[in-house]
Amino acid sequence: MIAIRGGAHAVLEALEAEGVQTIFGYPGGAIMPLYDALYGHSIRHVLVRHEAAAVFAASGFARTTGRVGVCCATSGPGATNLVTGLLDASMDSIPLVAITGQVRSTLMGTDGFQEADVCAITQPVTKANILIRDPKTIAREMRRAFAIASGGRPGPVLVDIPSDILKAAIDHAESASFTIAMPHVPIVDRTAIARAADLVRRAKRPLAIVGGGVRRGEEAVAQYRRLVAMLGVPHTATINGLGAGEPGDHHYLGMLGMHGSKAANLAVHRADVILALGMRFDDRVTGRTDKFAREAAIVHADIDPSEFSKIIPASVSLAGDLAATLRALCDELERSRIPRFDDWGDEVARIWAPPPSDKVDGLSATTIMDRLFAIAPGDTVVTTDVGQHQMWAAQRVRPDHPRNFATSAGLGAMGFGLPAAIGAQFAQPERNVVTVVGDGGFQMSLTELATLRRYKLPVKILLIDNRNLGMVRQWQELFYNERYSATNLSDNPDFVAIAKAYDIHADVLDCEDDIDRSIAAFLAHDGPMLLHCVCYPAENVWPMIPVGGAIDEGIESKP
Amino acid sequence: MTISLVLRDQRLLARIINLAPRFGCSLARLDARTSDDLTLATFKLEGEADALRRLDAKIAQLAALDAEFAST
Repeated sequence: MIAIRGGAHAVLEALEAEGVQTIFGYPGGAIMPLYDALYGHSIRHVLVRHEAAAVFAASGFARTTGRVGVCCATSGPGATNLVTGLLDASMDSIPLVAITGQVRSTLMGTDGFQEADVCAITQPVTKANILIRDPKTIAREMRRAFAIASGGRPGPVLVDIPSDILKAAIDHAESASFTIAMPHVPIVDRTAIARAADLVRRAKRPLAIVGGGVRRGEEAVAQYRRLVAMLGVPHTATINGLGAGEPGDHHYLGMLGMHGSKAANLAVHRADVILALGMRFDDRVTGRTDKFAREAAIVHADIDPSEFSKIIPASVSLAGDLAATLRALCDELERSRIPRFDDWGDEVARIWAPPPSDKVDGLSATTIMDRLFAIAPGDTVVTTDVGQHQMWAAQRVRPDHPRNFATSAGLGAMGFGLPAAIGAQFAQPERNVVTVVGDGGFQMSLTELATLRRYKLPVKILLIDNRNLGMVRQWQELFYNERYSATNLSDNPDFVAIAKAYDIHADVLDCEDDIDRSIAAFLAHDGPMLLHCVCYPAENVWPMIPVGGAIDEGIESKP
Repeated sequence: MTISLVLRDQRLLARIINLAPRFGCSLARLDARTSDDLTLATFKLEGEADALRRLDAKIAQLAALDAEFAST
């Protein structure tokens, strides 16, 4: 007997085959066949309130689990609303599969209602995109999408499916048999490993910098911790690598870069060998590239060979999976004398100090952050939005694993924090999930309070409200002669009232004496909660490397 | 700089054309033909040496991804 089912069912079967249990989306005309198939289906569909939240939620799911996040949207505006999230995932190498409905095949190219050439639009913001023209290929193309998204350097893949293809009947037997190879991952080059080990042995002031590549698997984290412990080497992290080091490791110098710690940035400046591990030398990390680590030989390990010498010339390039690379490097170092760098590590660790704060006439956002991360358990999953609060959080958060901190790093997409927390909470319902947001970014995504309420998600929202687009305001203060153009949000709404309108518990924190009590109650609340922190409006993020400055030219207060 | 590529995804021609000015480079000449499912393309790109080097690296990344997709 031949089993016949529709294309939409084939999509869901493919998702089931990948182990997908939850998808985030928003319905519309062209994708209605998929939503019809979802009706009563075991795959849980999470209805968000904007497609941008669907892709950010999928990203939060993926960032905090390492699994592929899945979102869906309809054609035209639904699909174009995914673009920012796809680019965000592409910049941070996050595995996503986005499924979009498309107008029916005979309408494509005719400027049909809600038609967009989404494959052309998303070509620069995805790792790959696939337009399915034949229903018999749905299973294979979906499998291919997941293989591409998760294989090699992870990234987002968009699958665009015309509505007639979603409705078409498929003979199960015709589409059941296919094989998909996983993308190629470079094999670790033993000769290059030996050269890297030799550089480390001859080093006097080596430094390890770990980036988002370490989030790819548990083994990468374990091998990274093994390497830095074996050598007693000082180490620092990009914003995507936070949490890679063993909690409490005193040779960990905090985040480096534009708002990185003085110790981390000076260590980069003085290092003679840098082990750059799963990172890509973003301009927010390097500052002026011609002055970045001028005395150092760079050992660059990355799964993507095109990153080598793209920004900073590498002395040794280690192409491959980071876990395999680190294991090979540790093994190679163990074959002979293992150098120790404790004295150098101690020297730069002594430079480390808590990030400086402005003296403020009011509630200090940095004091709140200090207390939040002192009180919250290390296994709390933290997401952030984008802006000053993101940097304050990144400077202070001490996650015990890199997957416990999720932020829009490379793209810096406002509106990310709350939907990402929703994705993280669905992925790990038993975990404490906190999102730190600013008043600007929160207003780009606060419709997702409805999602919190509908699914009773116990996400905690810490709102740092300084009634400004604070990071832009800071730059205007420092670099644009205090001409505060379009950054004043002094007419902000009553956020507590908004939360309560969505039946979300909310409280106000506006007094320093109440910080610990408020944060403790906030974290302990049984259910979703908004803590609205009414902060001083002009507190800045320090340290800061001014644009065009070198990594050792950070400033700690307004000149 | 002259780059010859064998591409599975013909749309990469447009992608590379769009990329060139982002790196401060320009396309001087493009020859392309399709044979079976492959597109054979030769780009002649002009620009400053460092810009061309960075563009070359980006094109290499796209070509590697294109080859990767062919294997999946």
